[in-house]
Amino acid sequence: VTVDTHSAEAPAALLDERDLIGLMRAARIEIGDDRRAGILQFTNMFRGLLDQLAQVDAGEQVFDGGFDPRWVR
Amino acid sequence: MEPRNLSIAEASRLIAARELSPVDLTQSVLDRAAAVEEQIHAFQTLTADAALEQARVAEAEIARGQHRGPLHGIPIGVKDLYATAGDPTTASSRLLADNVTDFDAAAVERLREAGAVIVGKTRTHEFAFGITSDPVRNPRSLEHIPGGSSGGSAAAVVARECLGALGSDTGGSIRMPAALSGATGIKPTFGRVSRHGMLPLGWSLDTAGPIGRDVEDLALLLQAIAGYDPRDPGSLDVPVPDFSGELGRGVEGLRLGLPTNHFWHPIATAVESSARAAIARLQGAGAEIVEVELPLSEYYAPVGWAICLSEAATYHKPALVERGELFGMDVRSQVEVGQFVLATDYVRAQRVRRMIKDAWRALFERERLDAVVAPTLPATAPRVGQQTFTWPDGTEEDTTPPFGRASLPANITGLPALSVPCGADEDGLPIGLQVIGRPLAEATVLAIGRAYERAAGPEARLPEPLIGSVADAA
Repeated sequence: VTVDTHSAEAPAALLDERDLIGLMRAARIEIGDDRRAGILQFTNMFRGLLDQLAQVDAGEQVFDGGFDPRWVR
Repeated sequence: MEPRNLSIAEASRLIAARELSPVDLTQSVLDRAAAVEEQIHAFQTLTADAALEQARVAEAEIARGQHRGPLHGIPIGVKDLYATAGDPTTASSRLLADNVTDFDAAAVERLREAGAVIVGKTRTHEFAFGITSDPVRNPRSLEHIPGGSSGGSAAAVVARECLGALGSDTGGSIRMPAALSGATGIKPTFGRVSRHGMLPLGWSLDTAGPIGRDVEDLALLLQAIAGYDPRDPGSLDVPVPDFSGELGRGVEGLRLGLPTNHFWHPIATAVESSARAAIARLQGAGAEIVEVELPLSEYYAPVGWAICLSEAATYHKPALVERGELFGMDVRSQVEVGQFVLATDYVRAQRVRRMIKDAWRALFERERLDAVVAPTLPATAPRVGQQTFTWPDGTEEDTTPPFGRASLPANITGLPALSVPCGADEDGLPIGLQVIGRPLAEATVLAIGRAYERAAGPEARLPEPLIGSVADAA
């Protein structure tokens, strides 16, 4: 399963149950039928946030892991 | 007056003068717990016998002239994320029901060195991953949640089951329950307080800190737990100032940023009016209020959620695979969804986080700000089971996102942030004012909070909670 959440051609809302099942298999977790709808809804909501994040032009910004103590100097 | 109704500062002065027995004080909070725990459920584990023994030791030391300082003999609650030697440390989860730890977390070590009496482990939302802290109830109104994730800590302090407590704040988990329950709370600068021995939610966001009755007490608690610890890779090796010594400096000449965006829409009417009135009081006390636009605000929630979900999912992956059915349903769902965040999403979130930090630094420098002041949260405590807020414009929103929206800026940037009560809504539910300071400027943040308390006078102190039929005569 390929879910390209950052492609303009495949927005996050297109994540459907087949994609979700594939993702769950890839993550080696089981979600019963009774909970799939809720997880799918939450996943899509969250994918929307990630799509929003993808709009930022991060330019040359480096990855500092979130611990960079230079911030407090 | 029952000793439990004293603040830490008040009780400390009496203990030092040998006018108050730590044993009597500890017995007083334990009596209160016995009377109200059936309704409040603030404690996961009460360690009454051990607490009384610690109090007797404290009393004997003080009698011998070995007074350790302002926390000596003071009953404190510890969030059940922190290891305490010989006690269960469960994170309020069935997964850790049998987890008896054999060491003290760094913050607990420091509290014990200061002579504090540990009265028990306060309930948290499971693994600190939520806002309701069920089954804890808000001492101001038992039909409402106390907030989370440090809901037990805030409820225990407000209900007078202890005089102060440890909390933790990854996305607002100290400030939120403090604001909703009518306590004070400070999320220190990331790295100011060691997290060694504290179960993680999101390693790059987690911050240890205190919850108290007023700002003076927060200064005393923070003084005891702050400081470098090489066992925490995020710990900062920097001097710790005298927080209490700087409390009284006031706000004369300070420049406080008042955001024109992010915090004010949507917001409950009573919250907006109380927060703006509190900021006007600070202006009246001599602060200069400067309107500012917070940078990159549309990305606080995406960055915070991407980082927190990824890091939490990583930590909980083994438990999810092996014993997932033991998680509460809400936490399990979040951990499961966290499995689907791509590595590229996480790295992008951390890069944007750095951009946000730099933009905040530039804002502070350009406007010569000492702090940013805003509502702690846009609403008062939801009822137990309430799923949505209805905002003044008629729109509805789930209850969790608005709380995160207001809290996350300080977590993403690592800046110190205080919540201090600044009024109540028409139902008597507390409202909090948030003060976000420069890096490592907890002393300034606390001084601003203290200045507000003084300017507001009795209004800053909410009435004592009447829990069910258990009224506590002051």
